[in-house]
Formats: sequence, structure tokens, C-alpha cells
Amino acid sequence: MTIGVALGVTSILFILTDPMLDARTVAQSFFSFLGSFSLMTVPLFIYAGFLMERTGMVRQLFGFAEALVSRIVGGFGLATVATCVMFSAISGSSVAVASAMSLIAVPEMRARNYPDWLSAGIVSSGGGIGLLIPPSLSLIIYGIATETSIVRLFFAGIIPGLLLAVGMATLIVVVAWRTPSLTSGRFSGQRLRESTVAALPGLGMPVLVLGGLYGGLFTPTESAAVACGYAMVYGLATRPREFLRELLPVTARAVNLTAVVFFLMGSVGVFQFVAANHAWPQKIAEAVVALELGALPFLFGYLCVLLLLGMFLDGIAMILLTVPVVFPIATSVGVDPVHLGIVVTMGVELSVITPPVGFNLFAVSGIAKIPIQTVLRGAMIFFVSDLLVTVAIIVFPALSTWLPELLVSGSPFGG
Amino acid sequence: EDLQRVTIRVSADIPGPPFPTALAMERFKELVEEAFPEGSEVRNFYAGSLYKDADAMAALSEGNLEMGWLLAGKTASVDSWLGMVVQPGVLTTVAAVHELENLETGKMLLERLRERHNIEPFGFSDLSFSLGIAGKNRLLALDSMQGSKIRTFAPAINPAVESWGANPVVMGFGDVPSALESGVLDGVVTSIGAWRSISEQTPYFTIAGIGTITFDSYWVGASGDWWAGLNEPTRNKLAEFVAEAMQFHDELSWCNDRFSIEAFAAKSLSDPGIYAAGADEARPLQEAIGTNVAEFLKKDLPDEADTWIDRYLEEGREASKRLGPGTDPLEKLDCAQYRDMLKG
Amino acid sequence: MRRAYLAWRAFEERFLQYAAAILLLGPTLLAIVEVVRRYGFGVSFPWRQDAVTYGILAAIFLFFGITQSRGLHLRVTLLPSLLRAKGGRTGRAAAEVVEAAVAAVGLLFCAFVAWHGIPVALRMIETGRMTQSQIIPLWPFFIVFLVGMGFMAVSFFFQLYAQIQSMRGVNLGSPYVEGTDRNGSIL
Ligand code: NA
Ligand code: NA
Repeated sequence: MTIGVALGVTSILFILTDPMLDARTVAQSFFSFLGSFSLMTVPLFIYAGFLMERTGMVRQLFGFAEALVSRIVGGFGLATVATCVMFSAISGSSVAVASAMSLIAVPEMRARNYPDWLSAGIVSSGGGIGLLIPPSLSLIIYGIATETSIVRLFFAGIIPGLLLAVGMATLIVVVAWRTPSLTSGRFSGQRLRESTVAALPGLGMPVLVLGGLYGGLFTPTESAAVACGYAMVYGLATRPREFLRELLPVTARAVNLTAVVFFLMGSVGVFQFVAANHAWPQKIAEAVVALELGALPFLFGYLCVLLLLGMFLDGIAMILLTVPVVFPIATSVGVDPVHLGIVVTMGVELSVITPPVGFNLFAVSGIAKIPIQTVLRGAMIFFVSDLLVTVAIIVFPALSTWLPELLVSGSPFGG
Repeated sequence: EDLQRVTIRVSADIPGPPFPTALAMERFKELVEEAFPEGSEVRNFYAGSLYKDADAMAALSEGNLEMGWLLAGKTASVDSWLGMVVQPGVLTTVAAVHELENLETGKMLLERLRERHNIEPFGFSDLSFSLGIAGKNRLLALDSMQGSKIRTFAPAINPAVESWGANPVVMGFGDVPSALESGVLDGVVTSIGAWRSISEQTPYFTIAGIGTITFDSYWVGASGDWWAGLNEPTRNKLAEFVAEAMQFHDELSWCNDRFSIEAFAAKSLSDPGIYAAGADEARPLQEAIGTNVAEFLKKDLPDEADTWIDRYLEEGREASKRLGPGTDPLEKLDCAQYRDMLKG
Repeated sequence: MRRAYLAWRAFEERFLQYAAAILLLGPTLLAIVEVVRRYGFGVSFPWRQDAVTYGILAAIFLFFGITQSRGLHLRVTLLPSLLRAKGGRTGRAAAEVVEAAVAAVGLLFCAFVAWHGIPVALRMIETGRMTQSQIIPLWPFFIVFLVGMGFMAVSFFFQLYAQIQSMRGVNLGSPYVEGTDRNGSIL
């Protein structure tokens, strides 16, 4: 059953049995939920990611990372993680990162005797970094749902994203140490120089997007459009014919994926409308506030809810169904909105590798042709390190709030 | 006949308590739930959590919402005639603003809500007597406006902003903070209440008299279908409570502005905070606007509206002259009684 | 019927998806041009934001049916998978019945939204409802939305038909080659 249809049908049943609402509100609430300029950041960043992928940039980033670290024990695994970090700065989606890396890095690791469970684990979990390092589609959706500054959220995701990478890298080195069959690469100064030059255009995009947001050149939606423009100019400059031939199909692919997400979001919009009509969010919030939890127990409780939902639901549905209820409670118990956004995203990041519905597991299994059980085995190891990082981020809010506070000026009136 | 049991959803796209409009909506809720039979309920929705203003107006027409506390400027996208109210330099005294629903134009617009939109109108309610311009720098002198990007809350304000040499930008308020941070915006035409939420990004707020550089008003209305289904005593009681809540709202809104001006007063142009420009300082802005807004509205609206636009200018300016400063009871109100309430 | 199904799929894959693609490309370029205009010339169109928003939305609405035909919408397939895993002819048959029922519910949902949206569209036209900038009318985009929902209903209808055919042992085939977007999730 399509999640969107299930939510939509449920909402219709409520609307039809509610004397205060009529059938016209279904189409209206669906349509008006999607009519926001900020929301267009989502299709535009998806589009930018696809365009960048077509230009062969991910492979160049991998080449660069490989030349840099492949000499170390577990070097190819580390290079994969490093590429995940760099590609995360271009793509806002974890599935996109995991898919691209399955295509490029898994064969390379396989050639170096990496067992399939390990390489599949690295790419499926490494994809999650894509949601923390800006741009991030889940942070965008959280920002729109709560009217929290997307710019602040973007900067808040950087340190947690890097921590995820560090956690993974540590595990990889430990595993590699105990697996002597894994071969390392050789270091070559010339190859590093060449691959650095080749990777520069790819590294230029995050500089443009983040620099533009920080330096005050564009809004998040515009920065996504500019990222598309950057990829187009690069594509036109390097391989004009192929680029033009592929432009419409790639564009259609971006609309395709967005349509899936927006259909779901529209249905969530109808459901939210029904829930708001009955004042359910307020009622749930009042009940939870009455428990008088502190910020920390509250956040851990919320994380558990997210982990549970994450077994069955898509991340967008997780965010849009829980955040309208959780946000007012969280702020009333003293949780910083930016901190909460990062915690939610960590919950989503974990959910992409938890069965039975773990989108990165499916993607990696499908693309790298590795059985799902094998992918799962690898992913569960990194789930542990991801979970530890999540706990650290909940306990130490500064890990997420420090950077945006540093970069965005304070108020003369104390906020 | 007895009072009927009622369930009333009230929609507004403003922040929750202690924002003055929200406090007034809460007062209405208390009044109704106390006086009406057991099980009666008022559900207040803030920040567009049920409907944004334009959708709320459509929902009132269709009977999918009972009441709304909506802005004329925002609902002008459903009926552009409502944009007529959003003209600066017309109602420039407190008493003149309160005269709006007695002016021919005001009466016509309320009647239009009833006739064309199936909405039972209760009247206009003050948005703020201190609408102004928030900026990263002090935006007052025409020089300071040149080329700056200023977000407006209604398209009818755009021609005014253009006549100052600035570029009007249309965007939802949710996007405003990040747009200010990122430099996509330099300033915002807004109320003091809304400025408080973006004072971090725009430390400089400038007001210049009442309604001289920008104006907007709430209108309060109920679904026509729903209203028609109520019995006489219920309608009378509700109308009484709405009137009480609107009066309460106007007082709170007035006092909230006074408290903010007191707390954040800027002594000079270069200090951050709220600067109240004198008549001489504000004149260049008004002169630059001239008839630009009226002309824009005439282009935007069907021809039969043109005479109304002229009539509004005429009768509104006449009202401002007739009902001079200091002639409204609100101006003599002792705000101390509301100080704690507005602090939340 | 089979011919109608293939014609519909051809319309979606050969025409509609590219029309939608152009509808995304256009607003993207407009957004870029507007950034350049703002920095180069200090000007911007007041309708820019509405054009970008509703242009992209129109592209997305037109794609609803295509993604459905391709079987990409996010699904919870627990019950059919369980039934299939149980194996045997009964298990498989039961799974197919469930999937047919799901397609029928989807068809009803989309048709419901499109049908009850018509009076909303008529009212928008009557009142001349505008987008935020009050320069671009809103109703054409609302109609595209209803059309998109209608297309999705058609896709569900053919899916139901294909499901029934498959229960009778007839495979209709699909012109779409599954790619890497199989999962449909973006996060
Ligand atoms: Na990212
Ligand atoms: Na999961």
C-alpha cells in the first residue's frame, strides 16, 4: 500500500465523518501544503545532485580521496567514507550518496578483497552522512515545518556529519587491522596532484553553496538553483554534446523522484489538516507536557519513537508526522530548535539502515547486487557507531548549536 | 429560544499568546465557553496552523471554517478589492482608522464579503498603529533606501516601496529571517509585533506617524452558512462577544505598541531600536509615494473599482482631518492594566 | 483495453515526462537568471517567487501518474511479501488479490481528490484567486493539480487492470526500465 494513499484515505474517512468539514478540503489542503517557495529547495537540490552525478564528479572525488588515504590500513574504506563526506556536500539525500557510492566504490573495494558485508555496510551507512553535511533535504523539511532558519540548520549539521564519518573511520581501521587480506594502495605524489585538480570542480560546488549562504548571497532555495546552474555550466563546458543529450532525461529523473516525495507530502498535508482541525497535536502535546520530563529524557524518548517509526516509514513521513507535535513540547522543555532539527535528522539517518524498511539497504543491495542480509550485516556494525554519535549529540547540544551561533551574529536585544 | 451549543474554529495567521490578537481570541474563547451550553468549544488556530489567510477566507465561504481574524492585505489574493484598504497616507489618525467601517468604502467592502463571499462580517480591527520599516541599517532617508531589497506584506505596498527607490520583495514570513541573514533582504515593512521576532537580524525599526507610509487592517468574519444556521439569541450573543473581543484586541494592540516603543526607543537615528520619525523626516517618503499606490490599485482592479479608490482617498483623508490626533478614547487609555498580560 | 493501456504508457513515457521536465528546467533557469539580475542590475520581478514555485509544482503534479505507473511510490509491502513468502499457489494468489485491492483503493483516492476539487477550481476562477504576488492567477495551477490527480487515477486504473490480467496469467509488460530510483525515498 502506498503510504501516501494510506494516509490520504484515512484522512478522507475522517473528513467524511466530520460534520465540520466537506470533501472539498481534501484537494485544498493537499495543494496548499505544497505551495511554498521554500519547499522548492527540495526538487532543486535533488536536481542539482543528479546533474552533478552526470558530470562524472563523484568518480573524481573518489579518485581524490583514494589518492589521499589509500596508503593507510583500510585505506579504500576510508577513501569511501571521505568521498561520502565530499559528495554529501553536493547532495542533500542519503539514498543518492549511498547509490552513487555503491556504483563507484563497492567494485573498487571488492577488487581489494574487501568482504561484501563490509563495503556494503560502509556505503549504506556512509550515505546517512548526506543528511547531516549541508545541503540536507531532511533539514530543509524540518526547517520549513518549524520555521527554523535553514541556514542555521545547515551549519549545525556539519560537525555531527563529520563525527559520523570519524566514527565510521574508526570502525573501519579496527576491522582492517584484524583482516590482513585487505590490500592497501600505494601513495603517489603525482597522482594526488592530478586527482586534486580533477576534483576541484566538484569541491567548488559546496564552496559556492555554503559560501553563498554564509556570505549572504542567496536564500536556500536560490542556492539550490545556483547549484543547478553550476552543474549545468560545468557540464556544458566539459562535455557539451553528451550533456545536452542527457539534460532532459536527467531533469525528468529529478521530477520523478520529487513527485514521489511530494505526493507523500501532500497526503501528509491532508492528514495534518485533519489532525489540526481536531486539535490533536495540542492535546498530545498537553499530555506530554503534563509528564514534566526534562529536556534530556524527552529527547531520548523522542529518539526511541523515531527509531521505531523508522523501521516502517520514510524519513519525510517521520518528520512531518512527528515534528508538529514534538516541536512545541521540545521548545517548552528548553530544547533549542536547531538542536532538535539535528536530533530528528540523526533519527532519520539511522532509519535508512534499519529493517524492514531501510531505503539505503535496498538501494545498495539493488545496485551493488549484494544480498540484502549481507548488506544488513555490514550496516548493523556501523549502526552502532552512528547510534553512539547520536547519543553524544543529544547529550552535548553544543556539538550542533556551536557552529551556527559562531557564524550568525547575535542580537542587540538578546534575541 | 436558548443559546445553542457551538463548536467554533477561529483561524488567524499571527503568533500565539502573548501576541495581542491571540490574547483577544483567547478572551473570545473564554466568553463563549462560559456563557454557552456545556460542550461548547472554541478552537483557536494561530500562525496559519489550520489555514493561511487566503485559504481561510475561501474556507469561510464554503463553510469549512466558522470564524477568521484575517488581514485585508493577505486576503486580497482572493478578492483584490480588499487591497483598497492597504493604501498609505489615507487614514492617518487613530480615530480615522476606527472610522474605516463607517466610511462608504469600508461599508461597501464589508457588504461585498457578505454578498459575494457568503461571509458574515463583524467589522475591521486594528492591525497596529505602528507599522514601520525594519532594517539592518536605519531605513528612513531616501538615500538609505536606494537599491535596498525590502519585503512587503501585501502587493499594494510594493508601489510605495518602489517610489522610495527600493526593490519590493514578495516572500512568506517564514523565509524572512534567513533571507535577512543571507542578505537577500535588507529590510521588512512590518508591525512592531512582527519586528520583535526579527529584531536580531534587523536592529533598526522606524515608524513615521500612523498609516503614513503603510497601512493594513484585520477584518473579522464568520462563515455565512454556519451563521445562518444559528438561532437569533445565539447570533446576538456571539456578535456581542466578538465586539467585546475586538475592542479588547484594539486596546491590547495599542498598548503592546506603546510598551515596545518605550522599551526599545532609539534616541537617535544611529542607535538601534525603534525610532519615531517626525513629520518633517517622514514627508519625503510620503511625497515620493504621491498617487503611485492608488494608480497601481486602479491597474490591478477592475474598472468599476476605480471610482471607489478615488472615493476612499477622498473620504479617508477627510476623516483624518475631521478626527484629528488625540480625539480617540484609545489614545487616553491607561496601558498599565495590560502590562503583565502582554509580557506573557 | 490492452491497446489503451499501452497507448497510455507511451503517452506518459514519450511525451508527458519530457513536458514535465521542461516545466522544471524553465523555473530553475528563471531562478538563476533572477539571482544574476539582482546582483547585476539590482532588480527582480515581483512574480518571480510565484512563477518558480508553481511552475515546479505543475511539473511535479503531471508526474504523479507516471511514478505510479512505474510503481515507485513509497509503499509498505509487508502483507503481500508475507503472503508470497508463505509460498504456494494460495499465498501468491492472495498476494495478488491484496495488490489489486490496493490499486482499487488508490484509484478511488485519486478520483475522489480530483472530483471534489472541481468545485474548488470553479470557485477559484469565479473569484479570480491569485498567488501571493497577486500578479499570477492561482487557478491554472490548481487545475494542473487536478489533472495530475486524474492522471494518477488513470494509472491506478490500468494497474488494477494489469493486476487482474496477471491473475489470469497474462503479462502486459511495461515500457519502463527500472532504474536506480526504484526505492523512491529521497532522504
Ligand atoms: Na548533504
Ligand atoms: Na528503517
